[in-house]
Amino acid sequence: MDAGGGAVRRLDGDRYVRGRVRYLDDEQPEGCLHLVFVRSVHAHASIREVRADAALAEPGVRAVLSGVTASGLVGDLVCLLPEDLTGAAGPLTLPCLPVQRIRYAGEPVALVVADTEEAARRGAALVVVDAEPLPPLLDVEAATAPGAPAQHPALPGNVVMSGVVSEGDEATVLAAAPNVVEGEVALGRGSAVPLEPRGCIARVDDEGRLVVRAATQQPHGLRADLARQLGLPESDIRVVAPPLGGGFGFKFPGLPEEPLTCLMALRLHRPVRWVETRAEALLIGARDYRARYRAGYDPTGRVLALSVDLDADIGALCATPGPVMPAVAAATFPSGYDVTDLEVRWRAVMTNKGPWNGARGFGKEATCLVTESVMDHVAAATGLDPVEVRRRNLLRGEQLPRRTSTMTIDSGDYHRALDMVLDLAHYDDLRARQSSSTAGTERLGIGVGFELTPEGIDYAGSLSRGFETATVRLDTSGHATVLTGVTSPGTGSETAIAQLVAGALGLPVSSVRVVQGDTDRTPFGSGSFSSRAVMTGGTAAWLAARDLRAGLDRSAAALLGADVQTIRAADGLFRVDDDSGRAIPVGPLIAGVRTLGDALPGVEGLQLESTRTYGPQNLQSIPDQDGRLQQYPTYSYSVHVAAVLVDVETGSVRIERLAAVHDCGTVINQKLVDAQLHGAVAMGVGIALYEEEGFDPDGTPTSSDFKRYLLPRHPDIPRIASAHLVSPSPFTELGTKGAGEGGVGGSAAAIAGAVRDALGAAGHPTRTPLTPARVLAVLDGVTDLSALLEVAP
Amino acid sequence: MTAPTTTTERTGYFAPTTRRAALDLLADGGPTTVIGGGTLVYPRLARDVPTPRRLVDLARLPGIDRITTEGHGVTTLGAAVTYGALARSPQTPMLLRILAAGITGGPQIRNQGTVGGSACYANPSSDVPGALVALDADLVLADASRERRLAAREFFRGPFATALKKGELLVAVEVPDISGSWGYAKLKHGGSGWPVATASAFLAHTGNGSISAVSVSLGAVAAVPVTVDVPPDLAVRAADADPSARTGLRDLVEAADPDWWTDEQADATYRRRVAGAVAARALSRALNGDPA
Amino acid sequence: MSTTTDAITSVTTTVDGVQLTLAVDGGRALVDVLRQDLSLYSTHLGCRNGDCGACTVLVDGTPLKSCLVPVGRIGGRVVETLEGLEGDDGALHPVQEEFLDAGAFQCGFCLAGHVLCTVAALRRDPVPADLSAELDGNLCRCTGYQQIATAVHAAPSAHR
Repeated sequence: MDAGGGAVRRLDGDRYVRGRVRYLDDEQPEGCLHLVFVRSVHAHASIREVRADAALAEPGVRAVLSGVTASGLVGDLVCLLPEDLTGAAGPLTLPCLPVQRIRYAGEPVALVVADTEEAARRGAALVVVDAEPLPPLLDVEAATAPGAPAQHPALPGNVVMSGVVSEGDEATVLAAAPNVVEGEVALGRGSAVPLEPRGCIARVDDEGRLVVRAATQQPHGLRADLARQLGLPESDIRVVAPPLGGGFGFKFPGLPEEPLTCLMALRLHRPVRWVETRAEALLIGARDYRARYRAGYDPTGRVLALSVDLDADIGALCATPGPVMPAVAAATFPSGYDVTDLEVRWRAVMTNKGPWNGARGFGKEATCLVTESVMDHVAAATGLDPVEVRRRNLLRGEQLPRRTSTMTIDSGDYHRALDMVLDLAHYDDLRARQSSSTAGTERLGIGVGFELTPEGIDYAGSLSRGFETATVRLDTSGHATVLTGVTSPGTGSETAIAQLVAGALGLPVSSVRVVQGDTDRTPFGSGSFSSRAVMTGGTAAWLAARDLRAGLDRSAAALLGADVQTIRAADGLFRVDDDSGRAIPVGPLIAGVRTLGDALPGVEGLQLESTRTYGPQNLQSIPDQDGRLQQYPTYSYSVHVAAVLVDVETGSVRIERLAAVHDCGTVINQKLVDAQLHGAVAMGVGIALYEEEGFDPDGTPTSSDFKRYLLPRHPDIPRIASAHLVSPSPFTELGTKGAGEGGVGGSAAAIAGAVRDALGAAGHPTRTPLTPARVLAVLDGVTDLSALLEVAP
Repeated sequence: MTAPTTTTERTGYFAPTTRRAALDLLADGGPTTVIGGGTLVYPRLARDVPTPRRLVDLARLPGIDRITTEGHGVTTLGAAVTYGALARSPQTPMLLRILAAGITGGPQIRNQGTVGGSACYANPSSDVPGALVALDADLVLADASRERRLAAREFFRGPFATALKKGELLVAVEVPDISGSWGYAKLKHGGSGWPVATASAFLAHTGNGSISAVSVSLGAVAAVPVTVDVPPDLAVRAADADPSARTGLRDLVEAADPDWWTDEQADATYRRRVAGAVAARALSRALNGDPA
Repeated sequence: MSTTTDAITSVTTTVDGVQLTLAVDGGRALVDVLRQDLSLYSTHLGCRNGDCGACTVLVDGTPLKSCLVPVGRIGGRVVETLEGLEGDDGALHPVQEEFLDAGAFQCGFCLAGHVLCTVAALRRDPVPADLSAELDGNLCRCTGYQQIATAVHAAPSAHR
């Protein structure tokens, strides 16, 4: 299969560097109105009344809406959570604007629409929200304590979902294990934080259809929600996703702002525009976990059994895929390790913090931080090098595919990847340096992290399934147009899709146009979700292109008077073997099919367009006789090494070296895939050292800008040494696996491990981000996670 | 449009070209926001914070962005001298040259943010207040009737609070030329963080080169900068990582009993913990003649 | 030049090579004038707090975050956005070419800031000592800064 390799530049790259790409905020329709939300200052409150008269009297204000009225005009948000996990009788629903109770500081309580954004803000400042504050629940303990007020009427104990992932007989094996280590790992609340915030522009067109431009990762998913909530047929709605300034899971549908913006456009018969501020964007969370582990091991460092309790504080319930992530975190144990006796008890709990949307990692980064802490702990307990513990516990290539209760891990060579990354990182030199240097206030620490990254989720029961659809269409200019149900959040995946199609058709990549993100033009799809754009979306397009190629080959053979086996195609020219004297350019060939098809013997019937739906194998959506499900078809992985310098006087951590080896199966465009790894590793740096959404004791968010929610900058991330392996998937057509998330958990875990290593603190509780204050607490020998949780960042 | 006039309009943007006009605007029109650089004002205007929309930009006042040494042992910085200008000018006092290069936010902020703006904002978690106190700088404040000079240590009153009176403008900062060695150390969390502890160390020398006096001004650790005089012998040993000297230095800092500061960058416990170490680093740099 | 009264209600400036006189309240942020009045969209808004750098433009060759700059200050000055960087014949600026070659962007939202800061640095010093200090005002969430560093270090030799 000829995919054109890694040398292909981004399609549209030229437009990007010229600054001509248009994002959501760049559009302002003629005569559009502006929508601003009134957001609660209380984290938890009982609403008495929302008074709009002063706001309505403000010049320029056209409408004000609050929960009481909204509930009669727009349908509820519906959470996509499996009932067997929620234990609720029926789907969980939420009003778009609250009627009785405010659940988090920043919750939209009312909206104001005005002629200008300034007038809308002035109006919003005049809306009076008369609410009685209630004590906020700000952690899992408080939310699950007896008598804690229910945050949703159908979930009196505030546990949204819970479950147990088990394998073998953990209890017996653990009890019999010669040694046991116990520890705790906590990930502070953080979020995906793309640079472009969310926004939505809605209008009604001349045909009476609702036309929506939204910074969304799932235009079809959004359309379905809007149809249901607004009582319109899906075909009366068009959703267009313009080029996104990053997604990372932050822009899945399921929050109220988009349906409400659309509602107001319908009601006011004018285009309505809403774009969120950075402070609003930072209300959303995407991780906040606390895990306790017990691992039984033998004197050789083999982990025999693993027991984990995992709690997730998911903030206020919402209808995005965010709340599902703790289930994924649990299901990803035991990662790539050969542990067959395992139990993970997990809960997703509601509190009075902002709701979750998705984030790169989707829970798997939490799994990784726990497994790597366990392995480091066993290393410290046995005196083995942490690398050796990985060697003894990672699954061998021959053991794959490996079926667990939640995964069928397809293929990989974990040990080879480990060896490669140690080489890249000059691991032995690092250890040598570590043992020789003692002077100064900086201590060198080295950490390793293995990350298993299931990708391509098929979530039966939701609209986000594991298969994707593509149409490929040929024209007489010799160009191909691909209409795909996947979208790119800015990764350039459409370039790889174009490469696949170009390769299949024998065209130059520049002759392929990819259309994505428009529900009127593109087939139904999941958009940008679980790294499937190239793996699944690209394969669907490739299959459709191959259909067309077969027809072109036969037609070329007929037109050139040759045997079909002798037809070759490259760069838009179809030839007989290597004889350029007997050749036809693809444009005239297609014209020939169109004008002569079925009229001339052998010239193929008129098929110049093909639509294919493709889904990988290796999926089990209905539990089998052992109750096992398998919702991820492919399993990418990566291994990381981090070297850090910890300043023992200040707790500052400087990253000296980062190395990573990743394997996402067959690679279509190496540059794009490497770029994904880089970005993921950078997010791991952020999780390990910097990123945290903090709250005051009254539940007010304290990190509402980038001076307080800290993202890594240029000086914080060194050059990442990287390499890749290819272990093709035996279950996908092209051997591809998903690429995009791999690296977040692995690099975070390697950095956390490196910090512990510098302090001789393997096995101590870990609480990310490892801010200087927390590092000093570890240095001081704080061994109780609760105490560590008390340390302000 | 003819001569400059003042106005009682509640909104508008004014760029006066004389100090008199600027002061008239402050005196006449009600709530007014003064713009030095703009890097701190514009975020406030963007948020729902009741910031007056009547803006007076000092950018056009003569000399407001200039650094001058007039020969009587004083370097005068106009209030709107940017960090970038400080970094580039040969006349910039050494301490400020180092400070300017390390300001968070990239060349964009370094070319727009101003010494005067930062001083008037008086954010404890910033570089300028501690450095101005260390330099024994005078802040030149002017109102409609007179100009007065106030020592930096009198100017910074508390977190986000200065001695600037209603109707007054900060017009310049005067830094006396003192001969001696400087060292600066600053602690912040990553490229994005703002200062959590700063230390400006100054060594005065006698004629024969020995150290006659040592002082360290700590910024960012407390509500206002705090200066500690350090016995020269202790300073040398602390800079050399002598553990008992380090303890001695920490004790001196403790004895100054500053009002330790807590914000989202770091809490008081942490700042108190690291203040001595950062002071020692600044001393080390001053002693080694390697001020940054 | 702006008008001679102290109230700035009109600004004459050159933006991307075009001389303009704008009737504007001088206190408006430059980013809003560029985007809303002049339809120059390559300058993006990511935070309105001076942190992310997505709104960076060059004013008389100096990189500034346009969400922080009063438009009243740019009278008589030359403003450059990313869209104005290419040659009159449409040829890409060498720095644009390097970014494209190196794949130094993904979603592109931060691109203008990174390119313009690189251009500004190279104009001042064709062989700059520390290019990463020139870019520490620009956040990127996609690339981990890796390919940006490649492009930026290749740029001086390409820039000739």
